[in-house]
Amino acid sequence: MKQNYPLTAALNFGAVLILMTILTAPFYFATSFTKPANIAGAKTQNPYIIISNVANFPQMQLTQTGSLYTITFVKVAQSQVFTGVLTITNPTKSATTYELVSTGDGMFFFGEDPGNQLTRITLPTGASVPISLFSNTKTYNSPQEASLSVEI
Amino acid sequence: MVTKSLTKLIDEAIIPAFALIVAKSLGLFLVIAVFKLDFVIEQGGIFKILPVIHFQDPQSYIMAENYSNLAMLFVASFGTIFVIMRAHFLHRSHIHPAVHAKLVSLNLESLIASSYNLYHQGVIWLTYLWLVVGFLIISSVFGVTFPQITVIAFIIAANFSWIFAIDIQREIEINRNSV
Repeated sequence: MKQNYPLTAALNFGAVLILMTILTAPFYFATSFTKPANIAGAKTQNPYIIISNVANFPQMQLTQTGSLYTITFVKVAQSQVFTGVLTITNPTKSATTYELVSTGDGMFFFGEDPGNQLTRITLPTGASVPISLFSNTKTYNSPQEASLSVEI
Repeated sequence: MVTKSLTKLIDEAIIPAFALIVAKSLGLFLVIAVFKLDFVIEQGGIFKILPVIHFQDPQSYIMAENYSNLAMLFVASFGTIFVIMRAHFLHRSHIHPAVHAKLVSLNLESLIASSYNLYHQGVIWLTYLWLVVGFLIISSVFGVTFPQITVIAFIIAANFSWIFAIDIQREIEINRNSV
């Protein structure tokens, strides 16, 4: 029987495609079958995720009431910066602009550079940035409080 | 028309693919049942037909993913080691005569496999095992799967590949000597 090369090539190409599909199918299933609700679920999706790093700082505590984050801290000098006390992540599927609103004895800013205290930033999807706390009140060596809310 | 080997590979790939999907699903349902994780089932996830399980908090999601990925790794490893054991001990080209005689006496001669079957099965199972390793590496990079699981998977896959290569080497030597 005469060999039909174009047909043979097409059939083999199709067979390779079928094989690749079968090989990758379990992994497509594995990645698509489960999702964390706070990232992928529309019902409980948050516009941002705050991760606490206060455990790295002595005498620092974080409390949360709704969307208000309050940090209790003790300074050792009048003017002090606590870098990276929190981390904010953009879990949404689009770039989002966040603005920090601070109240109390300190001011929160994006990044870790006290010389460039950004309170407004646009984060690409999935990106994270540290949030630092700057306090310049006269009181020190005693507990103080600063509160933070994030506006979009 | 279609290369015989390609047809054989497709044929051999179906059962492992099904086994991995079942392992992932069973692992997931077991971890949900044992740890009583909160979840919501929503429609239209995979190909807009199959359901997707949404976990209520990231910790539950990470726990479920880790255990179900472990189940996938276990099945891929079990399938691979089964083929490797057959290749080493029940390979038609170099089966020990005593083992062969015993299998014949027990009417279990069908357990003896040819190189053609064994190598196609071995290639498929090892491919799945390495794909699991790749999947776990990506999952670890995204902070979902614990890196320890990925390292264990890599060690298993590397060792199984090495053992399989030993059998191929032995087969080549047998063929070279017989020529």
